[in-house]
Amino acid sequence: MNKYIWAIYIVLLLAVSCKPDVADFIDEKKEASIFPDYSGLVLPANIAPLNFVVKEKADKYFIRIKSSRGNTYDICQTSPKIDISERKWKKLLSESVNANLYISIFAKKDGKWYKYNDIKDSVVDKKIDNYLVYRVVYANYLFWRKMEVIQRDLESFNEYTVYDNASGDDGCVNCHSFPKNNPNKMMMHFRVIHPGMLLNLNGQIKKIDTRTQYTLSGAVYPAWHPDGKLIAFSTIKLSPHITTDIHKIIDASDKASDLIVYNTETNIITTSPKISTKSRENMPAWSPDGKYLYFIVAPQVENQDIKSLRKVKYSIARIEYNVNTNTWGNVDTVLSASQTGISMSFPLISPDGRYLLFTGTDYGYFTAFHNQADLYCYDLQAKTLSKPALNSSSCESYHTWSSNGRWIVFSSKRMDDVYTRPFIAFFDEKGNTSKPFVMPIKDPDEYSTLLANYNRPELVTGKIELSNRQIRDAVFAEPVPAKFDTSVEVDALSGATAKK
Amino acid sequence: MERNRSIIIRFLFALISISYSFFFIFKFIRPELYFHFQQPPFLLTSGFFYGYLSYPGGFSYYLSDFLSHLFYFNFLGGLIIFVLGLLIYFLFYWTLRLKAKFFMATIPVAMFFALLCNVYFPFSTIISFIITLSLILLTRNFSKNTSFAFILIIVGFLTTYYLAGIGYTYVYAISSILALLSNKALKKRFLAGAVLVFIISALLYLLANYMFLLSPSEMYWTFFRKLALFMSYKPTKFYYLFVFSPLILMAVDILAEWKKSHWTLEYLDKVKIIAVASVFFAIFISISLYFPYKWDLSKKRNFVLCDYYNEQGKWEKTIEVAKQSTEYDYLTNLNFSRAIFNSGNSLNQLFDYPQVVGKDGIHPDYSYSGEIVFLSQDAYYDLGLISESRHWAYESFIGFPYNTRALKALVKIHFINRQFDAAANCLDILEKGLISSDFVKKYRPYLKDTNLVNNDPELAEKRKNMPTGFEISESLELKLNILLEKDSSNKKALEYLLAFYMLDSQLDKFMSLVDYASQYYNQWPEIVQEAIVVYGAVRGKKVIKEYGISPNTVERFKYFSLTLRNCGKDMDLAKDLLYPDFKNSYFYFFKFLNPKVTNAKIVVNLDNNSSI
Repeated sequence: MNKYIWAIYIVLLLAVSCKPDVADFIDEKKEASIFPDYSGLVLPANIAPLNFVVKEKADKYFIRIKSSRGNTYDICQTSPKIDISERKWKKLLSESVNANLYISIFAKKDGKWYKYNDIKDSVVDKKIDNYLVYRVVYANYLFWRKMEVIQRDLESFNEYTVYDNASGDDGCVNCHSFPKNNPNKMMMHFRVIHPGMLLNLNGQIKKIDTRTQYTLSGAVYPAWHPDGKLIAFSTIKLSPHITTDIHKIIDASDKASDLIVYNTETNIITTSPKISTKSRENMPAWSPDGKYLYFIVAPQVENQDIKSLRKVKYSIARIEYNVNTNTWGNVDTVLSASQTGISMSFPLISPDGRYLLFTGTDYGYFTAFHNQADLYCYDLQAKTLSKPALNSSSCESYHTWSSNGRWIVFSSKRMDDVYTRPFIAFFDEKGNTSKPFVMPIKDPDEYSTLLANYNRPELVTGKIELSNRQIRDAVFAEPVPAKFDTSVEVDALSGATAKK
Repeated sequence: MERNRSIIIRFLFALISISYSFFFIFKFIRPELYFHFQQPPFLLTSGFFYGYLSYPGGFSYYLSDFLSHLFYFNFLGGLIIFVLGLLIYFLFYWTLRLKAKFFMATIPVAMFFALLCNVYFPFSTIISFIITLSLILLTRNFSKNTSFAFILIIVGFLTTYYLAGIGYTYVYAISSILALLSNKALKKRFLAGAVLVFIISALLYLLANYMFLLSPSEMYWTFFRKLALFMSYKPTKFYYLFVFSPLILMAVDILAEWKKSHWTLEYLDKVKIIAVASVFFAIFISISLYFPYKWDLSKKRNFVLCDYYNEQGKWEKTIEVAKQSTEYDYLTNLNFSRAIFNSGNSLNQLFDYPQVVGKDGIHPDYSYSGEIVFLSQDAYYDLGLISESRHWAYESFIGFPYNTRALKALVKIHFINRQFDAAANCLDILEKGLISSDFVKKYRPYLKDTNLVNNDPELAEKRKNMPTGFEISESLELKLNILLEKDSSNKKALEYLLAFYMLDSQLDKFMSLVDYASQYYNQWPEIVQEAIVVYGAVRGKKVIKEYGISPNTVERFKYFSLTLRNCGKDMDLAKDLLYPDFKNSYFYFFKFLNPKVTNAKIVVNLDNNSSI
């Protein structure tokens, strides 16, 4: 029995001995350098622990996380890598809703404890959708091999493979997309090897061949109609470019592009002469009420001239659409490139229909490799354009809204200018954004060592229940050819010519 | 007395075999070359380790990447290979019961050495093989009791499946069931064997379909991980013979034991052991040597050797190896070209290797394929086209994840581009590996004191000459012009472009460039003089005095022309006659090797890795 008492005594002694004497520390009077930067944030009440690495050299570290109610959780260790208990984090987070959460960092150097300024993060009761679906793509230029679509539980560190392309003979997979953050409906494209579009309609899986003789290509950039039946796509003739410009190492432009709409129930692709013009239409996005289709548009290429092919500015336009009668209104310019001076891409309307978030750059639309690309916000009511403070000097590109419209997740290369990582920011009712923070992961060092991009983050309200084996089997299935709408008198071969 | 003699002979056999093994490893296998070609990734991080655990065989891949990563150090690599060979030997020795096992166990070792001569060979095969063999040994030694053996085989099967990989389960399961059947109580054992076959088949199905996410093509027959096509290894009968050798030897062993046939033992007793030892040593040598020679090791590995010397900046060695080639090889050609442009005597050596594909022989990324990633990364770095060097360094990660070669290049490239965070990440990754500590030590301080980049002559020069704001096309000519536009004194780019025009027989452009480049040359290299003479002859222009063509060049041209004329229409005869004296000249290239004459084209042969 005695030995147990001794053991408990030693454990207690060790635990106590690590804690700094609060009265005896040297105040560093600055914030500790930590990676990732998690100070001064607005946090959702359901986010996973913010594990971090203290970048101050020390022999020992003491971390105290304190809720607004005064409860604390202490970590004392020699490693600078701080791994926070999920259970304790959740408790402290829930105690700090609509208040602040504090992180105190002490470092022991040469036998003395040093205290850094407390990190203060505020916690709001607006929850973020609990799953983020993204593609991890191990590529930076034109070659590709390994790709995975991952769904990450943002409330914990659990992640699940939606699809691993190794199970599908290393074919390319891209453009996973969901209607209104609904995980029960999904589409994604398989390219090059076993090509086709996967459709998941509440567990019913289909593989569709979206290439028709009347379209420029198979379906490309998707946008689900809020009714969950229609998906708008662009069809494009792509032209990749490699440059000597370090801030734009790769670029892609369209030789031609049009928009189409696919009906998941009838398997029919339709279009309109108004969105299949000689101009280049791309990046469709529906308004939350489903009455308007937003898209970007640029003038056609003149005589294959490289300048007009690549160095062109895209505007944002919209067209009215009646889903019941399948009729189209007229095209309106929402934001003109000539007025704003920027080229616009990835338009996305907030769930309340008020804000239009898009990526702006100096030219073109393929902003993933444009270091100067930033997010812009257009207030559709007030008709005002702003550039949120969340931008960095590096590339901000693809973005997604949470279903309650209070959170955005976007791709950014701000960590190293090379690889994209998903960043989360609060978006308030007035259109203001908070300081963004990178999606918390179990081992934050992975953000420095993973030679892969977190691509196309999409927030969804729950877990995709489709198993990755079901998706693998769908990859190997024969695709059903989509049909082109016989009632439409144009095709999508760019230019609204009469159908052959 | 006989026993002592036997021990001495065995000792001598072992000593000679060990000595031969070391000789073979360092002479033929050369671990550094294997490392150089494969660029196995390894990081000492938990995330890297976990990445291997989600599929069958991942553990073996992890271990093989760890060990082959150490091949970077040639001696250590050799030692590792030797120890693994020894391990294979002893595992066989302990598993078999034949009296000749002392000698027989050397056969799989010889096969292992032979296989490893091929730089495409998946090293994980060896690790999986050893895991499987260990489990077979364990099962054989602890399967006296049928019920226990039954459970042991199922556990062994699952362990083999997960640790070694799917294909090895056949080797394990069949060997173990054979061992089970070889024991007493035959009827009972046959029943147990039949039940085991059923259970194992069911397990195979369940694991492939419900436990792991696998491609249908890999569900039931995978012996190593699938690599990018240009790196992929195509196993032959010899490979399968090696992988299934435990099964084969076990079958022989059991058959001899089961039939109570003592012929093997008696044979050994009667024949002098020295003869047996000699025979087995001869077999050992034959197996290890025959297949590498059949595969034509030097031919298949020349480009690796050239690339290896190139990476180390040993230009003369590269040129020497390339010149020794008996057969044209495009990758060797590219490596040769890179070496001559760095050796300081580029143009005069241009035709020391047959430039049968013309301008494409100096164009590292003519074919956008995985084979040329490092070559392009390095060649464009030499030239100062940093964006293209960066491009190919990143492309290399697709075929060679986390390779140190590109990571090291990227550290410099990011410093040149002022991307310090990216350079820091590359250094972090290199630091988590096992072989780059000196490099990290050198460049880590650059992060804290960015002035060190400016003070580094190599990086500062590259930064100064780096063109920006251009769109890159596939054309080498355009890339070289971009470089010259940025820095007209970029002599390497200038010489590349001169060579480009010569090799593409674009003589008018060549002469314009010659006029421009004259400011950098007191006397034209002989090859350039030859090209100028050819231009004069083709265009009917006077060039001898104008360009200071040497009398020797003029005389050689006259002789060349005269021989051509004398041969009339018989070009083959002219080609043969002129070859000894003119094979390295521009005259000869222009007339006989020029792809515009021969219509030679680069054909990407994806089967060049099929081997032993």
